[in-house]
Amino acid sequence: MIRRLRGPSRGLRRAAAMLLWVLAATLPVAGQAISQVVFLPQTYYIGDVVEARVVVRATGNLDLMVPGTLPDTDWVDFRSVSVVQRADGYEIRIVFQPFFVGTRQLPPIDLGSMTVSGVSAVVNSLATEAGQTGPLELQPVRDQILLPGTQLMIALIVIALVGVPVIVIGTGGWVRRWVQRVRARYRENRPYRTLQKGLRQLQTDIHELDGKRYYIRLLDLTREYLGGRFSPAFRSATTGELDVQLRRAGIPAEPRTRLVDLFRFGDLVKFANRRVTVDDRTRHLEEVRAVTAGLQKREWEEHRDVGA
Amino acid sequence: MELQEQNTSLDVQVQRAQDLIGKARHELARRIVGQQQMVDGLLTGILAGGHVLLEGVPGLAKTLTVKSLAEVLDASFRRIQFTPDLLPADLIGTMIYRQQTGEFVPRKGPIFSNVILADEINRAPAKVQSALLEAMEERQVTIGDTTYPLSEPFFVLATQNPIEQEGTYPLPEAQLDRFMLKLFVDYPTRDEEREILRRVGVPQDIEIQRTIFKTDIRKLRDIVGQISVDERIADYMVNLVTATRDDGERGDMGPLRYIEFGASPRASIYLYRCAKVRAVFEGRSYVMPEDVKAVAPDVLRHRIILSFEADSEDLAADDVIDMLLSTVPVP
Repeated sequence: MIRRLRGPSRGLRRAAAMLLWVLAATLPVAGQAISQVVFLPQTYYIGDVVEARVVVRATGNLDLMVPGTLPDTDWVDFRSVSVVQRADGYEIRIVFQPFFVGTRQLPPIDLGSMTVSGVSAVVNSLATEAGQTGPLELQPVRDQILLPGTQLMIALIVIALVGVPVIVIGTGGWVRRWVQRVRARYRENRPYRTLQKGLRQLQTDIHELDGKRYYIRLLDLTREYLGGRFSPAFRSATTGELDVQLRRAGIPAEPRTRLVDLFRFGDLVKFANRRVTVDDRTRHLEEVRAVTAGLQKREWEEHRDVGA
Repeated sequence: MELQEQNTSLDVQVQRAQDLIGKARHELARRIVGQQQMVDGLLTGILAGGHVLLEGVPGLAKTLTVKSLAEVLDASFRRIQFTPDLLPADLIGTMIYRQQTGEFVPRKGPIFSNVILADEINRAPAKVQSALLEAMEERQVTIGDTTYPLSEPFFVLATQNPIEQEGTYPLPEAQLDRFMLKLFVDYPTRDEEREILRRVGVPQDIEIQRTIFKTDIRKLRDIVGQISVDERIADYMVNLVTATRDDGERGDMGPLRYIEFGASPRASIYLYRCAKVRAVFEGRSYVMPEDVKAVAPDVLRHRIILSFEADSEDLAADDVIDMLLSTVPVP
């Protein structure tokens, strides 16, 4: 956010550069001379990490050594000093962090055969640039800065916490009825799904099962479907009672007769060891499929009419 | 192929048996109006080799039916009126001292007949009842030191009156269990009663012919024995009987809560035999669930003891059996 603020005026920058040139030109160096001082970045502010590159022209080899300890002041913090040899001399790179506003000379740095001194740093301040005059007052501790989008997130959570119960209360009855209808439909269709699954398995096993086992499974599946779909009484109804139960369940005559005939045939296979062909089995499997699909469709249409 | 031929042969035999039974029914129907369930129950008892307990109010042709059945069967018939002063010796016989020879000789009682009608069995004391019931079970009696086998077929039909219970000796459950079937004899319908008036309004002797001979009974029993019962049907019978027993889940909402004591395995055996007879009645060589359901009330009603809950809800044994039949899945 600080970087976004307007930078120093062009005049100020030019004046600072001129000053640097003048200072650099007048730096006294024994056997060597500081020919150039460049600050990176050129314009910097209090607290910025700045690198000052001091170019030293030397006639011969200098034995420059980076000091073990750097100068310690409360207005500038030296981070590092390094020496880079160039064709025409040396470049001393001083990385520091200023904590003052205005122009000050950096403390001298002893490099052994030479001491770098008189390097002036011009430190800018955003406060002064923003037009604030007078001594800067300490500001009270500011609130913690929120991450971008935090307020939006909080707002959404609040809306959810307040809004969802309101929506649930407002539309609860309708939703509950809808869920109940869906559940009831799911439950009603469960016997049919179980039947279909069983019939698929039976079709797979049609050649492996003997006639008796086949019809036991086929009729058990059908009975279970009727028991689950219409009335539990189908589970304990004999074939003779089946017709009565089907009539009670309101099954039309045609599917009723087909089912009863199927059960009569199945009883003969189950209890009288009547022989059956694969064609018989396939025919009866399809018969069960067709009749139950018809019953299911009829029930569905009745529900739809009632719902409408 | 062999099995198929056997089945065909059995089917023919069953067909003949059905015809013969049909003739017997026809003959009985000449004298007995309605009461088809009682007649079928009695025939079931004879063919399944069990004894029958008839319960019904007086005047419902119980005695007449049994007497007529004995005539149709070509069997010796004796009626024993059970009274409080009856002694076991009056029933099974005793040793008589013969003066001429100076020795004791056995005098066989009325139990040595093919068809016994023990009328109002609950009016005789327990000693007489147990003598009869022992004979029913053992099919032999001991007079003095000698044991005499009872004649075949040996068929006891006992009657009891559901009213006038004062001064009676109700049969204990253990003895009731020895009866294969307990038949309820109900009042005739209006049409049947009108027909009764038409037939016997003027006293007349209606002759009926003997249609089933002793050899026929043996053959019929053999045919009944050959009737096939699928394993699933047998399981169904066992399921029905075991459903009457306490399995520790008395708290459920099923019919079990109405039963204090359930049926014994003897019920399963009799259910098995009677279902076979019912299949022959229907002209089938195999048993179907319908047969089991048809005979189950007669086999089970005297074998279950109802709980207080059933009493409080005014439920009869037949109501509970109906519940059982409608809850146990059929094969």
